[in-house]
Amino acid sequence: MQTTTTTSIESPPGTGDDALVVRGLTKAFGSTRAVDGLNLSVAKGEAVGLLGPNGAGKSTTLSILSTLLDADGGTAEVLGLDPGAAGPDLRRRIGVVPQDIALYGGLTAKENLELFAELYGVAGSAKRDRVSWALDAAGLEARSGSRVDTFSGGMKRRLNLVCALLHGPELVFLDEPTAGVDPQSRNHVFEQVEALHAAGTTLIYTTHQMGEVERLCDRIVIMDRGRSIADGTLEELHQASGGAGAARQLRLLDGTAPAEAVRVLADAGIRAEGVEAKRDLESIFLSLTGRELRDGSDADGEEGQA
Amino acid sequence: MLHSALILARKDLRLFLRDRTAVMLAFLLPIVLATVMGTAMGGPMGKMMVASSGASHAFSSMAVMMLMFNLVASAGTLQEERSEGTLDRLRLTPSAGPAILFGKLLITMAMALVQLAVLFLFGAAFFDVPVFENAAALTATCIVWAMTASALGLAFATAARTRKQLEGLSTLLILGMSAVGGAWFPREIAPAWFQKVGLATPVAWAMDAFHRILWFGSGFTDTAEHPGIAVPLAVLLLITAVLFFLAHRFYRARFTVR
Repeated sequence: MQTTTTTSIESPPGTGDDALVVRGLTKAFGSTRAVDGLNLSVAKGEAVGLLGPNGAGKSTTLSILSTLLDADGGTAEVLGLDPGAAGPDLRRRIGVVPQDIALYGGLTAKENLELFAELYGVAGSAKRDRVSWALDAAGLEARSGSRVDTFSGGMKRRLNLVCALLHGPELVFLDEPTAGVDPQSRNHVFEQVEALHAAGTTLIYTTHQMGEVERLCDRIVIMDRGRSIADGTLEELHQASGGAGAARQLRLLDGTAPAEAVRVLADAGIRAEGVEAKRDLESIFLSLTGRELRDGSDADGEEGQA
Repeated sequence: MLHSALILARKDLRLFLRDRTAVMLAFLLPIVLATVMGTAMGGPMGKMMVASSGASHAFSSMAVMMLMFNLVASAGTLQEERSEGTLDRLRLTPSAGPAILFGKLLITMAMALVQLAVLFLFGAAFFDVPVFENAAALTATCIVWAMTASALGLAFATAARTRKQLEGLSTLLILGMSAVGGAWFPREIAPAWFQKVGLATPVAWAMDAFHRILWFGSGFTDTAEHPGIAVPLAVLLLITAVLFFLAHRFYRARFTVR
């Protein structure tokens, strides 16, 4: 069962193996303090979920750490470099998947990939290989010559992801990379992100999809009003929030009647109020409709002609 | 930086060529308007002119006025890139940052030179506009005016906060500068005070240069009969430097908020 965490857990101090260390980071826009004394450290190879309500300061934090914004105060080190000063040296080593679809609609998928590959300094045969890899990873090989403004939302999302990975970054910031797409494309994007994590890439992942964070992230940082209010593994967050009072979910195997389960628990002295049938809708949807990408059969007009 | 600027300029060229309306507006509209004006104003306007001066004025004014409209539209793609998020994506690459504005300058200048070439060659072919009588001076003037108009387009595009603001302000300013700068009618027929006011605009210096070449057959330097184009070109280069400096400042302040 979900529990609400209100306990603040201090971020552990940084070590030599840290990909990212942030101390007392602040950024204000006028009178609004978007980031207000943020502390954060992320180990190399770690996947950290950065959660928080809208306006919590997540995107501003990512903009500072990815060199787009200067902080007003505090210190930040990303891969051992100061994002406010390192500029190009840091940009070569990080990837950023923006929340918005930041692609040129008038260019083809391949042209978009080639453009960003060249700007990241990937040239010659390496460029051909990486663009080919990216088209394959995005499931867009068959549409590589089509203009992006003819793509469905899911196709754009997949391309949006791989454009940030062409140069093989050591650390990737992902700002809601699965927002607004169908389950097939969401699953496809998510599998690519999981593959990145498995390959040892450090990931900072912001999303409103709690399930994605549970599935992917080694650690979760919850931000609110520009600060980190909780930091730890899912289990640590449960415990820190008073795990004794947290409800638990039982998975009943086929053939077990819910009422019988309640009776057995009661006989064992375990208090249970009832067993609520709960389904993972996304799993059901994917099992019924399959995991195959549906780029070519969008009948609602979202996808145009190539 | 040049390599990155060329990559970005190639991207803008591809996007431009795939926008058929933009291509039509850039190349056909100036020719159509110059044809109408050239036909209406055709014929010699005095013995001091070397050729069909009405048409020469029509093609010069279209070269000056329409180029500004086209280049503001071209530089205005910066506004779209900002609102679509692609500008930030470019800024996140290691090489694009300082090259973004330079790339826009390269592509707008290249487009300007092609547009001017098409327009004047059409004028030469169908209206006897004397473009080959002093080809070196005309080429130099076209290059300088392409630079000035590109810098002007970038200054407008970076000064405006939104695309709509850009369209409104640039239309007003371009039409105003064209009127007082002599693109609508020769400044020579206007009162002295009006001619002086016009000199505050780059349009007047560009029109002076084109007029001196196409009406009076002038070259770079002054002759006993007619002034050359050296002074107008020098002033245009100075204006270009100021406009590009302003564009750079506006770009840093409004497009790369840090």
